[in-house]
Amino acid sequence: MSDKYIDLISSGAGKNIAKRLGLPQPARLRRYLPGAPVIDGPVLVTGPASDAGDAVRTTLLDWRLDVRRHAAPGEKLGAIVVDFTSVAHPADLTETSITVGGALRDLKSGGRIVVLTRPSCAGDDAPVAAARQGVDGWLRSLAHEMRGGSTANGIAISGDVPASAPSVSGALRFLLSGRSAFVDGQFIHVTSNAGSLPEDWELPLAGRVAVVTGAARGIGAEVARVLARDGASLVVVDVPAAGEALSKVANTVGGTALQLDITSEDAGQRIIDHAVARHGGIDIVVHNAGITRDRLLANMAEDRFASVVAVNVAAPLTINEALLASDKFTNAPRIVGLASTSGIAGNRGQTNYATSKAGVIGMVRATAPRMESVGGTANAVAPGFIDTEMTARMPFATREVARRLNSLQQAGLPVDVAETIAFLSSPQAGGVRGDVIRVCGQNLVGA
Amino acid sequence: MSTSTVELTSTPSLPAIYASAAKDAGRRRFSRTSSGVTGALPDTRYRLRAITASAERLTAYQHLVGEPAADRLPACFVHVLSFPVAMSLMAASDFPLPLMGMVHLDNRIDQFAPIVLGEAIDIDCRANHLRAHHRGTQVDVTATARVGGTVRWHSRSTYLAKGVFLDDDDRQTVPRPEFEPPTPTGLWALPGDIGRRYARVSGDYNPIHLSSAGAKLLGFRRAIAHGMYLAARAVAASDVRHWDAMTQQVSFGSPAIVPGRVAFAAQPNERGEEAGAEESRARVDYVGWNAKSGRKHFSGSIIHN
Repeated sequence: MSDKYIDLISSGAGKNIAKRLGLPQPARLRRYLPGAPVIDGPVLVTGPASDAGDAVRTTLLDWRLDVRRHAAPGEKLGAIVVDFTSVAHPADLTETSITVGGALRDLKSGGRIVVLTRPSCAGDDAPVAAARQGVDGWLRSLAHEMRGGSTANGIAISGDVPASAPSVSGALRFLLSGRSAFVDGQFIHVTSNAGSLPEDWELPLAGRVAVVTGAARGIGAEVARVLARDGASLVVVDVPAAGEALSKVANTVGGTALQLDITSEDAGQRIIDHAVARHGGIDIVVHNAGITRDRLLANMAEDRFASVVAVNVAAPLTINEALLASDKFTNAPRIVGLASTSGIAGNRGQTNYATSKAGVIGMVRATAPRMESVGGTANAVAPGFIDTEMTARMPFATREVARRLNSLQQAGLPVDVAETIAFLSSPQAGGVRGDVIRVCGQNLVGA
Repeated sequence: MSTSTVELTSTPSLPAIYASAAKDAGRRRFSRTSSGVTGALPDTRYRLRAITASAERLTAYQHLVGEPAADRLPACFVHVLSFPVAMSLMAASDFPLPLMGMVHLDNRIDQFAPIVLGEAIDIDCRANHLRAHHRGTQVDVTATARVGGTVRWHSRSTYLAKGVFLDDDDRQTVPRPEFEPPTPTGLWALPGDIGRRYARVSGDYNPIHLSSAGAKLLGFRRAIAHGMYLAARAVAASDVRHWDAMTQQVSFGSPAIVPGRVAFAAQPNERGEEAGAEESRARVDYVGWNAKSGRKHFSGSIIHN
């Protein structure tokens, strides 16, 4: 679906009117194109000296990017990488903040700010913890100030994990690229040195077999397409009633279709059997299938609550048990659950949906440690307002307001959710475990 | 002359056809070479309705030829499905050429729209264009695959009966064109059992592909790789499985002995600009040759329609 408002204000009279009336002026987001450079323009790496900064410079140079230690006045920048990993006191943040602030006006549209930080924890000295937690507020506020489709995100690197860890490189590349177009004001937590860099950054999922549930349409179909584009072999799953649409998706992505009700008890085993019989293995499972049955809790019938919980979180839980028990799901496997910003912030009339989506967050947090011994991960993606068939049915005014309520002043596209899922499914995300990445344009509320 | 139709009620057994053809081979070959053949082909259509492939067989085929598992049937796999119908036609008593020892010279497949696993396919086969070749007589066998009455796929195979000459034949020798091997993009190791493995997934138990003994009976030194296996691998290596409509053409040169090594080169061409936006089509040309001697085994093209 096209955003008519962006079309209107992108040129000519519409642009002038929007400016004069002080209306939102959303930019066209820079999205990933295979073969395009990671980012267009030089990358300024700044912050108090640290090993992490040096490691990141090496990584960026390996990707043939133009790396700067100091911004040349007036030179347009593609991205600013801010290294706060060595800060020991909140006062250490000031000088770099002023440097970044000065460079902001030179950032190109579609530019990126990526902050490297260490998450504060209870064992830190108080000034260190204060500085590290300070970075959190710093980044989230700066993200609100970004213009022209630019975003600001962070990589929170745990404890002793070196900045040269595969997942730090993976997260950095993801956040710099157009894959993260609708991810804003977020931290990706790298908690271990696990994972591996892909042989080919254009095909990070080559040789991997991925299963996507609810793939007949919407976000699921787009997830299948993006995983296939990144090199994976696809099993697309949906209910028999969606068989024809599912078959089309299978055809488009060159994969196989599996008609299946995921709430059936043997769903997990049937998924494994199909993937192994047809593709020789199973490596990635994306729990995308989901339903909504919105109603105020005061008016909620039992079956409306129960069915949403059954499809959105109980079925993935049961399927995961089959996966974890299988000796076929042991080659650095990946589970990605679909949460929602509703599950984080709550939403009126969605107690059932928010319960199930918050449940997904709990599910991946508890599942990830059980997969560590085989190099596996479980993570979740929490979309905000995404233009789909589902949101197209919302009343016009509600939809228009909901679309603008984020830092990027527009709805995300299914491909934005799919790109983040593809990142979490990749070998380079092996050190990201039990995390939730919001794909919401820094939404102010749950949607 | 009106066309008659033979309706097959089940997929014919290829091993049975080969066995009976082998029994007849000596006699038929002898009678044909001594007397020659007339230019007449029976105007008969062979038809088999509602063929469906199993997921197991499709998957085994895809893995053998190097395709990833997918519900879309590779165009060469549809040829495999249609082959028993074509064989019934060629093994019939009114077919003028001997089945055993026939050589596949050329194949062209037009895929108008993909066929998906689970769809019921109706196959029609006919023979036409019996004509002279400098080493014998050649004939075209066409197969049409319909789903729900719509033609999705069409194939034309040209076969040569070596040493069988038409009555009115004026033989000419044609010099083999020079072949300069390009830089290979792949090297295929063909194991000794590849013919038997392909026979298991294709159902085509032609003795010349199975063993040296079988091949010697029919005048070959050793077992040779199946042409449609090589073609299917070439298509898989050309990575065109997302193309909905395409034309695949392959010509077979010297046979590839197994075990052996085939050097392979695929050259993708984007023809967008020169052909104009309306006509923008992509195309892959490929060639396979003996890695040691440099003799060409096959060459072909795949054109996105």
